Amino acid sequence: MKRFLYIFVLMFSAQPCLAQDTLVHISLKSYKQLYDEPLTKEDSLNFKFMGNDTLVLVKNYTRPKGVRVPYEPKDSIFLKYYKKVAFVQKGENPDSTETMKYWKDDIKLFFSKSVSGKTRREVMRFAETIDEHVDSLSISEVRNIEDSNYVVYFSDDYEYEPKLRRSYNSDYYIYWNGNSQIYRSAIKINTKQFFNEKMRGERIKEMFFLSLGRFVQIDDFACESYFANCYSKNKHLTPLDMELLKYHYSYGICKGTTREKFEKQHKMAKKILKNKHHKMMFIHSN
Amino acid sequence: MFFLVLVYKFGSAQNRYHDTIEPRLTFSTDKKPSLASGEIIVLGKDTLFAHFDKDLDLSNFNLLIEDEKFYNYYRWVVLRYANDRYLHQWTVPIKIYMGEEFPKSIAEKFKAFYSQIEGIKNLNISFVNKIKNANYHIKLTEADINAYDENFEFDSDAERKNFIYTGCTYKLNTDKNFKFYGGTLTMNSKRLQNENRALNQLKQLFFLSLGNFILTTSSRSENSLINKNYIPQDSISELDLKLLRIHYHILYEQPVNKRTFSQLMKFRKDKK
Repeated sequence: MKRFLYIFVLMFSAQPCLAQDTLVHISLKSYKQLYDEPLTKEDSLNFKFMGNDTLVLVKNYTRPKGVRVPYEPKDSIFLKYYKKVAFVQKGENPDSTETMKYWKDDIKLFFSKSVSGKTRREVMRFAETIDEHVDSLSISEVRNIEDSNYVVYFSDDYEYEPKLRRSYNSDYYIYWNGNSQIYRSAIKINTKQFFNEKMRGERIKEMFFLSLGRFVQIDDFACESYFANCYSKNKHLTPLDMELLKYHYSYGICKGTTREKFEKQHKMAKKILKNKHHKMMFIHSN
Repeated sequence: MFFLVLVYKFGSAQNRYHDTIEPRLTFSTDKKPSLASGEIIVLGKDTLFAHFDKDLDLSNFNLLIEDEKFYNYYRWVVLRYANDRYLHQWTVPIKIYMGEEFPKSIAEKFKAFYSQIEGIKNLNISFVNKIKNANYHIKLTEADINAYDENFEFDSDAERKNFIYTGCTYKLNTDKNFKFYGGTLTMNSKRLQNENRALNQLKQLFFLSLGNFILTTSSRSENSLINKNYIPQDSISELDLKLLRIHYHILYEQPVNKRTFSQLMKFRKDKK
């Protein structure tokens, strides 16, 4: 979580009849990360205990800068599938170092001249549907390559993305920074393999969808889903596809985490949610 | 906001087929009683019910159970008895566009030959007049193509010239479930110098591409299109039709290899 800092703050709202002040307790572990000042005997008198966690009362608490968004709870079945599609898994066991990836900046799509108007419009209609439904994703088309951060091109075109030079099948490539934020992408279509507009349009839409989060296609869903690892001529954004995508871009979850951290945070959040007086906030500091 | 998590499985919904081939779930707001259900996801306003098709006809496995020789033949041409090889199928109707550059005589004979494949469950082959409506393109090229490497040895030049993979090859668009959804079959235009050979080569390679079948040298099947020494026929052999019938009787929702296939066979045998 390094630079892209999310802070878990457990808010103990004081009862309205007593005061309007807010007492802020944070976990001992977070306290040690945030403050150099050692804890005193007096501090220990204000400790609170929740499960296995010790919570420390923070004096003169100054709210971290950033947007505060309440934790977005989801049921366990939903989370099971979310983890499968959002976190790359190598082999049987989840890779503890792999983080979920997401776009922070607006996506600006540039289509090479070889991409027909019909295919371009079809892809943009698809992208606009996503843009419309997912609040924190903004997707638009640009006319100049210089203004873009996403290029769609064909195998006979200029090689816009060097990493795809050796790619003989249709493929996509994404770049992300140290905060797991995707900042550039490209799709290359092999026109011999995908020899008509219908095939190209289908393939571009599928790869574009996957590039929105380095998503993993899984074998649990029927092929109509974009998250399914099988072809369907009727692929469309299913209600669950849309929910998973919205959740990926929701500010009510911690972004850029590993699967392991994601699981820990949810475990903690669920524990906190059990107590009606408590709520958990995510503070998005960048 | 309260979220409910309800998970239940109907005991009878899962059978041993689905123990081997995990069903793929469709989540929708429809609660279809005719379909087996597994999971429920409760979102803010909506509830999504998972369902899958539980009615599968496995009776065609009997063709393999009753004919051990054919079972061994099938396993060889589809799975080559290898654990790392997977069964390949087309999951979409095949719509062939044959390039106009082919001589009419070849194109018409090819179409007539493959129009014989009818009534095979889950396999639909048709010809289209426009490439925009196709998902299978048969075309000519001036480029040299051979589907084998330079070190591949032949006993004679005649053998090399007549080899099915000389000057002709196919490439198929394959998803991660080992299913085909598009393809191209490309032939070097020089091969047309011998029209009969070119026609037979197209016929054979197209047939192989219906399941990425393995070329065989079995003496029992010289009328078969997947025989290296195929004796040209005007009609598709019974053996080839039988192969397609068993190969396409079910479109498997998950990858199938030698181990999975054996489990399915065992399941069917036990049920008989």
